[in-house]
Amino acid sequence: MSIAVKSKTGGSEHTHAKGTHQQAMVDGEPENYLNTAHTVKSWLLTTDHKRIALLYLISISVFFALGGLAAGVMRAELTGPHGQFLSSESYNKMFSAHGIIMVFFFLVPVVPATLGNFMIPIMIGARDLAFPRLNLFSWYLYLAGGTCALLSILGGGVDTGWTFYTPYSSIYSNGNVALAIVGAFIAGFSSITTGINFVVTIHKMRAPGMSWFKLPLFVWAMYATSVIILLGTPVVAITLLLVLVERTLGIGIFSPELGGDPVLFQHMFWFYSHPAVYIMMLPGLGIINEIIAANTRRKIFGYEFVAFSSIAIAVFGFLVWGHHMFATSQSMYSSIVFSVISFLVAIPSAIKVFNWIATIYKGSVALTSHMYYALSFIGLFTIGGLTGLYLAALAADLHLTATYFVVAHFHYIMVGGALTAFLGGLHLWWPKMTGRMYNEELAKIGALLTFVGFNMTFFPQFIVGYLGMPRRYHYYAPEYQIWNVMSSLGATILGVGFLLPVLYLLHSLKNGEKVGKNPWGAAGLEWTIQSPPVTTNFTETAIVTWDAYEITFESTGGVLNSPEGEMIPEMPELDRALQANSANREEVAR
Amino acid sequence: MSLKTADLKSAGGHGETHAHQRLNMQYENIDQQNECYMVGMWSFLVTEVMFFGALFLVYALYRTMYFETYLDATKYMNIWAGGINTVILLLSSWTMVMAVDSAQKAKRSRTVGFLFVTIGCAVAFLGIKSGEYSEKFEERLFPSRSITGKDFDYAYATQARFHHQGRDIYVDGKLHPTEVEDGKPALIADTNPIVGFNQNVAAAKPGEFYVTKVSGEALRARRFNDHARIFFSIYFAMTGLHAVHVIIGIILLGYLIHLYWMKRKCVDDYLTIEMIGMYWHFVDIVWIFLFPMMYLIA
Repeated sequence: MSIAVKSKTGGSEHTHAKGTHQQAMVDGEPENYLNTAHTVKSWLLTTDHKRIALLYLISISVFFALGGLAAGVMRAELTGPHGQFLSSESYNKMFSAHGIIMVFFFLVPVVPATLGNFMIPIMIGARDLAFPRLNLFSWYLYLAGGTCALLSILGGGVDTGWTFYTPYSSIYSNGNVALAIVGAFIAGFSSITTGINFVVTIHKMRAPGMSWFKLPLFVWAMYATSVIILLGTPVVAITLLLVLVERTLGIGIFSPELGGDPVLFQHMFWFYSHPAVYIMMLPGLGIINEIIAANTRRKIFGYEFVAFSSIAIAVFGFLVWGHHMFATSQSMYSSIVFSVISFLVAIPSAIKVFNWIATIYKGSVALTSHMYYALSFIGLFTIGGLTGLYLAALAADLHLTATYFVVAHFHYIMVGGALTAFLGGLHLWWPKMTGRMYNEELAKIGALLTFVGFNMTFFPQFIVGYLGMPRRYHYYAPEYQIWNVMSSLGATILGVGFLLPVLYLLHSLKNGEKVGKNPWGAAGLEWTIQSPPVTTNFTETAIVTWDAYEITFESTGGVLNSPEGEMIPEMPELDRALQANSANREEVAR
Repeated sequence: MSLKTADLKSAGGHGETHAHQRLNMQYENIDQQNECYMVGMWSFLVTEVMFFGALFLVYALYRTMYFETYLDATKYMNIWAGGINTVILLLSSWTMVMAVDSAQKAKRSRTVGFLFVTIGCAVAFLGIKSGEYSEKFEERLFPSRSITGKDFDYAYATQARFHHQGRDIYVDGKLHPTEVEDGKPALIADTNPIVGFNQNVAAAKPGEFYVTKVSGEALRARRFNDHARIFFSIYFAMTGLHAVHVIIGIILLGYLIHLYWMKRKCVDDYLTIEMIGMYWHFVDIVWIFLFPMMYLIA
């Protein structure tokens, strides 16, 4: 891919200023955060947010593979109405392993700890996160928690489901519940430390000129996510701790035999775990803004609305936990309130979707692989969100709760939403992270396979759930078999869709074409620095003179080219912007 | 490229006032660094508030449900021990403030002295607390046999503490008969064995599950016993978690003494001691809420 450099008035001055910092060379290429040191110690004891992000990426991918494996076994088991090869107990352990790994060790940390960790300091013009050692510590906490969970799963398994409902988890279950709870507890602290780091960084580390309303929307989304992490995670931590002491020491707080209230556990659990849905979702929503802005080369329509809709989702997210308990002893009146507020969450979500569509509308959209992911995200997120309204309705929920309809709904949100967005973001920023371009054609095929396979897996589950198939059973009525077989087939395609990126992304590390600063012709601080960045991200203090997503000479790093490697045709608005910007820049310099 | 680039230090422009403070590479200047530390500490304290907040919710819910039991069970709280502990913690908060103040005024020996007093208070608190705990263990007021080897037994505690003093026992607010046969309280004799906490269900003999014939009074007494067990579960969970925080505080204070006494830390960098001071005040405040809620509600 050739890189077209567009030099305008002011450009020479710009490069001159850069020239004062002589770039060191390593192995025939400019020094960057990857080639600056190669020892194992330089990775395991690094405080560089970019290296920690890569460490997270590797470890989280391993957990994703394990969780996916458990899902694959379940889908194989469900191809027949009387199970295939698992005992009921092993099946329970299998879906619990899938849930625990995917929620606590994949979905919650995946975007914040990898893409967020890598991009937030760069996007706001900082040299690193506020607390780099805390950042490294959070990765070790993640590993410790993950090890506990894996040991508990491999050493006998847990059959409570990922929700650890009492009194089953506290008294009756014979699995390794205690160890799994310890794992989830430690992982919670890993995400708390990440959250504190992000809140402080976004508040205090922004570059000169980077005001709140010039922040990329991904940063807004990550800020909202971090606030949820700070307020929610401690509550689930203490809740799990209470289950742990109930199980090990006999300190009984949720025990119904003493007159304790097991539903209290559900309240406290979902007080975190519903907002946790937004911990998984908001970063994904943020990524989609970046992808759409990069591929339309436009400002996101209604920037402020999209920014505040993230905050609104974070606020509403804390007020709807009761909709997980419509079928319990919860008072009817509080159920009504929870139902109404759950409907309200649709408003900020819809604001985002409509604003993305308005941004794309009549635009000249570059159909890159990440745009494929973004477009499929919009569709899947809409389906997932709208089916959520069915479940927020009290009467419909009584029919649909604990059926495959719920399973399909939250997989549309978690996989169709969060995971698709993560893959999209990974494709968008992979050249920035590694300095190499992957095979774009294969990437598009991968995106399509994921989309087709995903729908084939989970759409039948809406139908079979509506027909009445309960979740968490591997024996089902024979008339549901056709849907389950279809779902299992789709899961195979989905698996290929996930495997493909692993292959071509790894392949690109050695063989990919080298890219310049800004391979997509996008705007933002991350596109003004070399790929891969140097350890301190910026060789000189970044100064922000442009609005979020505004295409100017500086915001694109002086590089403008289309994904096909061609120059963008002359655009009058762009020229005006460039001229206005050079005047602006002089002002700032003064 | 080194992570601790020295030339960034000059970027601060506050070199005179903070000459000895190390500026980490990611910050523009020393003020930004200090502000980051403080915002980070406050954020952490927010998570701590939520952490304990959930427990206070549990406390409040069960207090509403089992108000009578709460009132009755409070009489096993040792108000003197709790009161002295409150005074000790308040004193330690004051010495902590004085330590921070001395650090800010660059008085190293005063700082170390106040830190030692603070740590002494913390240890004294834990000592008194463990005395209270062992008292509860002996009176069979720990919620299960996991630590003490004896089941929770409210009637036993009542006997042990009040019978010999000739005081009456109230169950559900009503006078309860306390005849004793062979040294065993009447409550136990009335109650059929049931499968308790964390006992293996399979180990129970058939028929043991069911309370075949229990008088209304005995049933009430057993419910009362169960509810009291919830109260003491909450008591041990909350004070136990608080004690864990005190222990962490002692470790942090020890670290400070190490910094100021042995490593002779540059005294004008007081961010560390100020942050640990904030943590210590938080631990103190939690106790300020725990004390009236556990000890004084009767």
